[in-house]
Amino acid sequence: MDCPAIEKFDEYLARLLPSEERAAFERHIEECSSCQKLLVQERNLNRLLAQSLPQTAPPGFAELVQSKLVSRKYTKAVPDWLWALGLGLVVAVSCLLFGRAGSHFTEYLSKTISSYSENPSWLDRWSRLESLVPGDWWGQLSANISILGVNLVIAGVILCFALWQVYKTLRA
Amino acid sequence: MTETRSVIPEVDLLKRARKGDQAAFGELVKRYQDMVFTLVCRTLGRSERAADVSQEVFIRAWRGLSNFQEKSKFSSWLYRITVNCCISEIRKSGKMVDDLGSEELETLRIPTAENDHFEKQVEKKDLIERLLSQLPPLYRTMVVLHYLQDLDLQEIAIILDRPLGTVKAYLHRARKHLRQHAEMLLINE
Repeated sequence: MDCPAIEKFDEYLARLLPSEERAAFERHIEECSSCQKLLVQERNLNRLLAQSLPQTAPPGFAELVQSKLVSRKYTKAVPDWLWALGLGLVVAVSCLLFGRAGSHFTEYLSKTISSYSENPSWLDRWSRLESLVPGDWWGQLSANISILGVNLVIAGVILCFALWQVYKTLRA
Repeated sequence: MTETRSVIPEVDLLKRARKGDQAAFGELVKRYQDMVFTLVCRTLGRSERAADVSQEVFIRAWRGLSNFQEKSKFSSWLYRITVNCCISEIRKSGKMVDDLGSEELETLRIPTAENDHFEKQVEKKDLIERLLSQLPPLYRTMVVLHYLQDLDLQEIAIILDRPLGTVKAYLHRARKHLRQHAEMLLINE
């Protein structure tokens, strides 16, 4: 084997050579005095670097850092649990408001469907929605349990999810 | 139960620190302060801003502890924050992080000891430091991570977000520079 390039010495010392190449390199080193000297010099360089590089942090450094740490409870502008609760409330209120706007929509929908459907039970179902006219939307909603029930179920699910997120965040 | 500082596993300190335990994080600071300070000093090439930048590293680590993925090593994550802080600091001064043409390396002149006899350890250390200071910051960072922290090249490539080939090439150039200008030093060791 010819004398290896200087890069091979770097790779050998960094333990990057594949095993076969490493074995061939070591065999050559055993036989070549100039490469032995070069390997010694490379090891010296590694040792000098390891000795020359370290620095020591100034006294009291850790205490100074610790004094600057802000409590992690307040590192976020808005905590996760508040986001979760806010989202849940927004969705729940949206569902309830939909009940109001939904009455106009269902009226339109019932008229559209009734013009196409001939199924009496289907018409009956939509006729109940048709009775929700603008005005006393809360009273009419409360009179129609099915729509209020749907909204309450959706709101309940969202609130449960929000409460679960609150629990997870507090527990973490 | 009394716990001596030396036996608290790092994973326990991290768990406590993530819950907001500043004392646990303070213990982590003590364990890593020299390493971070060395990396900052050597990368920036001067020490007057090193303490401030090192503090910034730990403050960022404290704030971002909830983002730390426990599947990776805390030291690697901390090194990455350190490198990013150093790069920000260097860019503030308008300097380049890793730009060094080969022509510049060849023209560097290194003042040697008067009679080339490096008998005093402080002279050897001083020469190595002067040689290192003439390398670009990113080269110095790689030298510290590889020769002092004993990280392998793949890990360095991940920390610095550079290809493995780039890390190899930069380290090779750094060694070539040191080897050429400190030849007498290496022979006399």
